[in-house]
Amino acid sequence: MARINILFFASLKDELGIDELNLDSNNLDDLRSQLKAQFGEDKVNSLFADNVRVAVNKELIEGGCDFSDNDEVAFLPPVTGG
Amino acid sequence: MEVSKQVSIQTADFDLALEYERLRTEIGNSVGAIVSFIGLVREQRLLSGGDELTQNLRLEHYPGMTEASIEKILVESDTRWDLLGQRVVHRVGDLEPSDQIVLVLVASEHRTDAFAACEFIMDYLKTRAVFWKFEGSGDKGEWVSSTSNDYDRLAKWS
Repeated sequence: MARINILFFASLKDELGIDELNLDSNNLDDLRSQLKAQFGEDKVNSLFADNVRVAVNKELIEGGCDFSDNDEVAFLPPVTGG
Repeated sequence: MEVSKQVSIQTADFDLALEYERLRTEIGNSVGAIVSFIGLVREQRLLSGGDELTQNLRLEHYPGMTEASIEKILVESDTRWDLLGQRVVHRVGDLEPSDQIVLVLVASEHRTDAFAACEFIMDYLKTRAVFWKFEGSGDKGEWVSSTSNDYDRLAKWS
């Protein structure tokens, strides 16, 4: 298990009620199960929605990901800058 | 040619004249055109649920990743046009109507490159740069969604 730091931004932060969480997890699939146990199915569906992107150490990832210690895993809702 | 690229994410306001002068002195004598774009907070906006008007805007970002997302856009514009310098200043935090949000400055030898690159950078900033806008103040308000128009504009550059 890797110790990871999870960040939630914007609408996801409001929905979960927290902006940061530390936990031990092996990969993105495991993390989904862990977050489901903690936050419930509806909120986890929001986190893993098609339009939410996941970044590990500030790089966007596609598909799955195995975690290493101290990875920073961020859930990014659709961006609205400019 | 190595192109000067600078990105600044800041809560403080920016000064067009100052940023322009910095860029102009930095890029040397071959420059023939500098195009600038400034985005401002509109006074009246509609919430999606009804007709309530809100006054304030809050911009959130992801330090580190936000800068990198803009730098990627500037690398892309550099490959598409013949540019001498690019500068993006994007504000975060609490903003009010008529406040400046974003500044894009593009310098080139000939104006067509700078005009096109400036528009390209703004279209990409809207859909690729890592920012989130919240309209309203305190808990009252909502997170802004991207408009399909923002994405339609990207097709122009593909």
